[in-house]
Amino acid sequence: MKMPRITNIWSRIRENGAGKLSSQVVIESTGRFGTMVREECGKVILEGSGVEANMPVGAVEVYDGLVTNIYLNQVTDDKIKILIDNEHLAEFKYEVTGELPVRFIVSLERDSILSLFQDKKIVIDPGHGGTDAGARGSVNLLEKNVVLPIARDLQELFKQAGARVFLTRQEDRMVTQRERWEVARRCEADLFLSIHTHADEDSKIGGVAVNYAAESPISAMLALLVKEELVRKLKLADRGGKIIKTYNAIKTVPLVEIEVVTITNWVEEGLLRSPTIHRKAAEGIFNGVKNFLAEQIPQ
Amino acid sequence: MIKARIPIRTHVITEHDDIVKVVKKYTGDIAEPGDIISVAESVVAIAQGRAILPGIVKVGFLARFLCRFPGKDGSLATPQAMQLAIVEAGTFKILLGAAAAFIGRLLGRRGDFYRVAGRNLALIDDVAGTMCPFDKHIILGPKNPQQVVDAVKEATGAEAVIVDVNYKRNVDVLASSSGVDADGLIKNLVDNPFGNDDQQTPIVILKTS
Repeated sequence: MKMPRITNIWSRIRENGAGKLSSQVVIESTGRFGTMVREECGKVILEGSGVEANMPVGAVEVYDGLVTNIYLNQVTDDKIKILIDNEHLAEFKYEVTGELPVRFIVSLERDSILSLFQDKKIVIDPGHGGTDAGARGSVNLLEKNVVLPIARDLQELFKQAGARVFLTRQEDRMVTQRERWEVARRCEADLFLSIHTHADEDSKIGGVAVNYAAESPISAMLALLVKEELVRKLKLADRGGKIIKTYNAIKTVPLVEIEVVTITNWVEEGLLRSPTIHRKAAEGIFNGVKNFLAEQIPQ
Repeated sequence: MIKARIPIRTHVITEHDDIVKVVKKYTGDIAEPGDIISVAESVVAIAQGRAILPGIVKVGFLARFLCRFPGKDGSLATPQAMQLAIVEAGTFKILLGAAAAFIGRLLGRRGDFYRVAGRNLALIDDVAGTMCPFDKHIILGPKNPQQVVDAVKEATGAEAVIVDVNYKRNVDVLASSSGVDADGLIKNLVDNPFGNDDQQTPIVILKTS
């Protein structure tokens, strides 16, 4: 009889019947094998015997806010070790389902992330709108249109994490800067995230930047953390970030202007046609904000 | 009768890989005679060196002009992708296709460009931000897909197909080995068991026993 082979490892965020969210790590195999799952220094480790890896050993990148990577190692000819690298402490459950492929599922509870976002009021500001189209791509995309699906994906992620979310516009309409600030003031926002794209006369210039208000070190920190995660998700150049003086209008709220991509770059305009990129951008921003909120917790 | 579907994670396939050897390596101990090995068309093309960085494409006037017509979600909506379509099909066919598309639009019909200029052009994937490190490449359709599936069948003993499946639930079987009912296969692939390109599972084994 052939030894079972691990054919795939992947992950997803799932909600159980009680509305609780978990990061599920799914290990697929051609048959059942002996396993032992344990926690070591806050990380979850699955050891398997009577099994070999059919897929390449090494890291599977995740970055879903809780799990960063999953590492597969073939320890001996018939023993494997899987390490789930989670950023925050998490309770976990383990189950085995299915026949072919057999699925070994480790579910890590995302309560630590929910506690970071609980009661947080976040304003998402899709830039431009209506007669103000913003920048135009090299071919035909408009900034006002491409920032909306990113804002909606981001809204979904924040809501899922338990935050209260306010969008400054839901559709293609003109919104003044004063009206945008007013949304933040009325809801007593904890964070203000303005979504934009960059434009440059040189169509070869590309990348991600996150700008922030001049007199706000906390906004600078938020900008840095969001940019770091956005670059990681989109795998685009880091254009840094600059100070924008007009943003001093709402000094008390951490505020950033996120230039997700450079719309005038041929390639990056092309990327904006894909819903996958909208989702990845939203995930990058979410992870950056999550890291920012985690930094705010007194040690 | 398909009894199970097994997505197979592979290493990052590049132009340095022989796609038949890759398929044999990852399916050899799992697929048996009668099973069907389905391979995503994009990785076959990548292994054939048909992933092109947009920066190296010299764009002409015709490509700049025509790329404005496929619509913002069309796969030839960038000048570079349109230029590669011109290189693939030839200027004459592209112009014929554009003329047919123009008349088709007046009649409220879609798809005439590809019917006239060549269906292989519909396989060109513009930059999509998935399948790193080819996330910023334009990927052309694979060459000689029938030869590839025949070679996979000979190497593995299992049946083989090359398919184009996307998130819009469109399934296109580009080539299949002699023992495959291609039409019957589509319902088994319509929910895209390959997953997102990022999931790096470009092979799915359809088990029949």
